[in-house]
Amino acid sequence: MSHTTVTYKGSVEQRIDMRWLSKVITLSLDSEQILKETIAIGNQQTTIGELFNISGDNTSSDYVLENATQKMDYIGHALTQSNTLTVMGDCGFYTGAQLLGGRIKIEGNTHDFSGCGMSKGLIEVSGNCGNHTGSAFTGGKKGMSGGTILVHGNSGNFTGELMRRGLIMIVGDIGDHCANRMIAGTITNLGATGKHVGAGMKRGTLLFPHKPENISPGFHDCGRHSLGYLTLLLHEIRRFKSAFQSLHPMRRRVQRYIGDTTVEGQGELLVWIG
Amino acid sequence: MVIKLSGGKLYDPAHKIDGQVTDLYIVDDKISKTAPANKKIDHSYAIDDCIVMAGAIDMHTHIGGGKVNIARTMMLEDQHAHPDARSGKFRSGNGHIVPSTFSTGYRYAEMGYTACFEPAVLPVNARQAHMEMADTPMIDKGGYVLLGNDDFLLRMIQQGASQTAVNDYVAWLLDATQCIGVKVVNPGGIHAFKYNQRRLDVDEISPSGVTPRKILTVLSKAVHDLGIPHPLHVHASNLGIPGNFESTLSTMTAAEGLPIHLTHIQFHSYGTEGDHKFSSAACQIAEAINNQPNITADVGQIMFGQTITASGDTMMQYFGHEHANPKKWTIMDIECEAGCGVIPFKYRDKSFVNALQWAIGLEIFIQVNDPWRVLLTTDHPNGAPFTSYPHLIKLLMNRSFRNDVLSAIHPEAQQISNLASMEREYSLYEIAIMTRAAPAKILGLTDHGHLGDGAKANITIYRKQDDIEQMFTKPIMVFKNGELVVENGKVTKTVQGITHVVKPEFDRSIEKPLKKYFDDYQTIAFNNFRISSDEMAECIGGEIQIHPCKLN
Repeated sequence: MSHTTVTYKGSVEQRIDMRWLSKVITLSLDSEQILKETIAIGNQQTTIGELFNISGDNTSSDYVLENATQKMDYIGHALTQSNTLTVMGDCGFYTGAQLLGGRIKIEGNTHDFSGCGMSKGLIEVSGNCGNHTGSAFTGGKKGMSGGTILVHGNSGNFTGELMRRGLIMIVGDIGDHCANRMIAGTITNLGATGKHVGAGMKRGTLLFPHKPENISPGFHDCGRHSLGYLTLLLHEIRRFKSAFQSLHPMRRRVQRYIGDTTVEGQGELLVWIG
Repeated sequence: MVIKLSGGKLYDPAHKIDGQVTDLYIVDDKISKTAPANKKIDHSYAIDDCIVMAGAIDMHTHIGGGKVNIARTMMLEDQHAHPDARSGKFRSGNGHIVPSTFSTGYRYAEMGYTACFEPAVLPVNARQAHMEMADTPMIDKGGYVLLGNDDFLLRMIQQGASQTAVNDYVAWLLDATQCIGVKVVNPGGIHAFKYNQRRLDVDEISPSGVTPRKILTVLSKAVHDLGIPHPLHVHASNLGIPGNFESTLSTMTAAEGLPIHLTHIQFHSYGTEGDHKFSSAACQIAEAINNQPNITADVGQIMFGQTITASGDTMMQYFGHEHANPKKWTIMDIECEAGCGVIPFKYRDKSFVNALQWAIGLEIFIQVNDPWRVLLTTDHPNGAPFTSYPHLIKLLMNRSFRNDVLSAIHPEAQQISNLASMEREYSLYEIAIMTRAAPAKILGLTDHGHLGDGAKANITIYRKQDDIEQMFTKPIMVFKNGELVVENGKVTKTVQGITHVVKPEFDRSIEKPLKKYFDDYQTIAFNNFRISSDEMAECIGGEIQIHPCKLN
């Protein structure tokens, strides 16, 4: 399939704001023109052409960013429905922030605030994610409000903080304070989970293989359940090519805790049984 | 340096010039009507068909001090959404609702404003407020010191201290905090809030043992006795409560005929009629202003959209915290001198209450006959960000546009409001009064707000356009102290403004009880509290200009 390749050829020490790339992708801008535009690097100005090459079919909606580094912030910021962006390398902060649709596939790790404020689309990370994955911008009151984040590695602290809707799937471990002040949505993993899960969560579902340590006293054990809807949820989870496909499609036995009763207490923490 | 501006139509209400074509000269930093002898003209600008006014003055805008910073920190989404990149010699900034200091300065200058006044300088926070304002480029600044809820004053009044002693305290505080006026916010109410009281009427005895009326009477007398040009700046009791127009009328009488300035009066003009128990009392308020020449007011017009309310009125901010949108708010206090409440708010045109608030503000503008006594503000950022002034001017100057906007708001608010039937349209001359001449007069800035000989060369030149909003958004030239700083609506040169202050005379013996008070209760030493003029100029970076007080 034809695609446009954007290659990073620079080696600047400072951070690079990549929102220009989203503008190119969503507006299908002329590559020669965009390469002449200025970009701020630290306290200096340079042109995009000094740092990047753009090659390939410019009319395509599929983009590949090569040689990405963890200095690049806002990769795939606010992309829309029809766009696909593949990133070869690590990403900086705010990867896929405020995503409005489309797919971002990252062959590497991402820094903090991946998918923060996203409302639609898919972010797939082959490596690990930093803190605040799928959360809100600092000071914001609503985190991710739709879409899916699939991480094949681990995620850091505050995963799904203030999350409103959508699905976060972490194949590995999740750090501390997962689903902190979560409003609604679903978070699941296959590895371990850190401390203080679901503190202040109002609604939403957490689906883990092991009971996390230090669950807040606001959570209450409701016993063992066989929940029919888990089959539907598993159908959605298994749709993506990942380690989650190893879960049996008809699995539905869970230990159920509800919380956090210090707020609305309509959230649920489910732990697989058997 | 001599600059000639030829062919412009002048609007200079201070000299009763209404659209006359006259040449102006700028000699160094002063305006001259005649060409200076023995000096050659360095620059000459042909400004035929252009409108020339003095630099605009915003006499009530929250641009510095603790609560503005809290508002900035709280509205990070606003900072994210409106980045202002550094370019050339201009500093970076961000924000639209509560812009950062640099953005505030640039945006004001780009609209032709050359002076802005922060209406709530908390005495203990004055140093920080001045530092922040010194960081705001392009415009002259000034502050009104907050009084009327501090323990020292309330105790003085309660213990029956003489008016002279109160005068000395007020004058000492103005000197110590480097301010140009005195503001009282919800007199006694913020203090009462700390005793768990949630409402305080003008004639109700507060936990401090005095009534708000007494506080207002004493303070307005003090301001008058000291000859401070700016009358007592009053944020009246019961802000935003339906039926509060009665306490606003009581507040007017509390001044006992002395000059008083009622601020953001739109928020104090609500009745309780109708199905929603919320109605417009703009008519009663406007009539009261028309009948009492000692009263001036600014409106505090609201505009639809996201904003944030930042006020010293802890009591009323706490009352409104449930309407916070987005849901985050803070109420805090420093040293129990006054208060601080910051609540984000979204005014919606489809909400009955908000739509009626919008209409009430405009009704007041239209029904107050004398533009010298009703000033154009949005109480930035409480009613709307200051960048909406051009839109507000268009609403005042264009009846059909006003009625178009009116027809889109909540239908019940449309029905209840008399706005549609009001025919008055403001003229450019009247706008020049409200935004230039009147604020300068009320603040006692004799060399600002007019285009007469010897005035500071703060000049704004607009290209005449059919769309008034566009015209006021982008002046083609702005001169600040004789320097061309804005061209075609963009800042081209950065300059630093000064700080306007008054220094009324007082008896130093007031320092003795004050020192004891500081030793006993305050967390800052008496000697460290006072900001000297040298400190203002050398450390804070806000060189001061002292305006004379009228001796009565």
